[in-house]
Amino acid sequence: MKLSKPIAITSEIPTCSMADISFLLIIFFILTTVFITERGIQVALPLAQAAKKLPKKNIAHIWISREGAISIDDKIVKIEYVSSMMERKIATNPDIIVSVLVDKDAEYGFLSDVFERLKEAKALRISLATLKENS
Amino acid sequence: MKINKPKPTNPAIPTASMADISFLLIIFFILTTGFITEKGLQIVLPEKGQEVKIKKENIENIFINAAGQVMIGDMEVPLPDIKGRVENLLTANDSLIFSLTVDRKCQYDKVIKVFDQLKLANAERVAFAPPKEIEATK
Repeated sequence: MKLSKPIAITSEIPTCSMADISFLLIIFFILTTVFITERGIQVALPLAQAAKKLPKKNIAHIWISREGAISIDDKIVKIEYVSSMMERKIATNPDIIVSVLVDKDAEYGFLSDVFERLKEAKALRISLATLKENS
Repeated sequence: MKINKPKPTNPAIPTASMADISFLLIIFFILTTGFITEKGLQIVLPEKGQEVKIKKENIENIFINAAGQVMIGDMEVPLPDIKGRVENLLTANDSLIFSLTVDRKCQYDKVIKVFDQLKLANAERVAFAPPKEIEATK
């Protein structure tokens, strides 16, 4: 009896397109990467159920720590200078939304002082930063 | 004279490691990408010097004292009941404006909790009044 010898099969995984796929992924991640430019102060944000997402653009941040220290543009700022700094921001971009990140253990008085300064600077669109609480 | 014939060379760019390099880059960008979506409760402050007169019956005062006790009108309301109470007030008068007067010493977290309840009750018009010292309710 004659048995046909099994043909040696060379099996290979095509890897030519792997580089293409991975470069596509790289481009995606390059475009979506936003390097954190502002550090601010460490604050523990409060939780809220009604929290809504903010747009990514046209945001200015103000941090208020537990002790009442105010940080704008990574600088600890005295309360007197808040309005002039925000005025400058509003002048360059009138559509700015001010996101105020206040520590949950801070006193309300700190925030209301900042509110007064923001009113002076005509920065009227405010967002009180919170974390989303799942109800 | 005998000249050596140049050997035909077979130039090739090694591409085997290309995938490795690109995956390394991918990992870097995956790790540094932060899909940061900031969340918050939006409010609009009134412009200074442009106080608008509002009818008294369209204002509902909410007071929060230093201990975080909440008064709506002249009745103390516990936090879980705020939403229902505000909804009732809004169905009775949908042009109602809520004026939040908070004690300076009140913890911010407690203010946000109340403000959150107002937002959940779809109270669109909320104003933060200048802080006052508020006595504790009995």
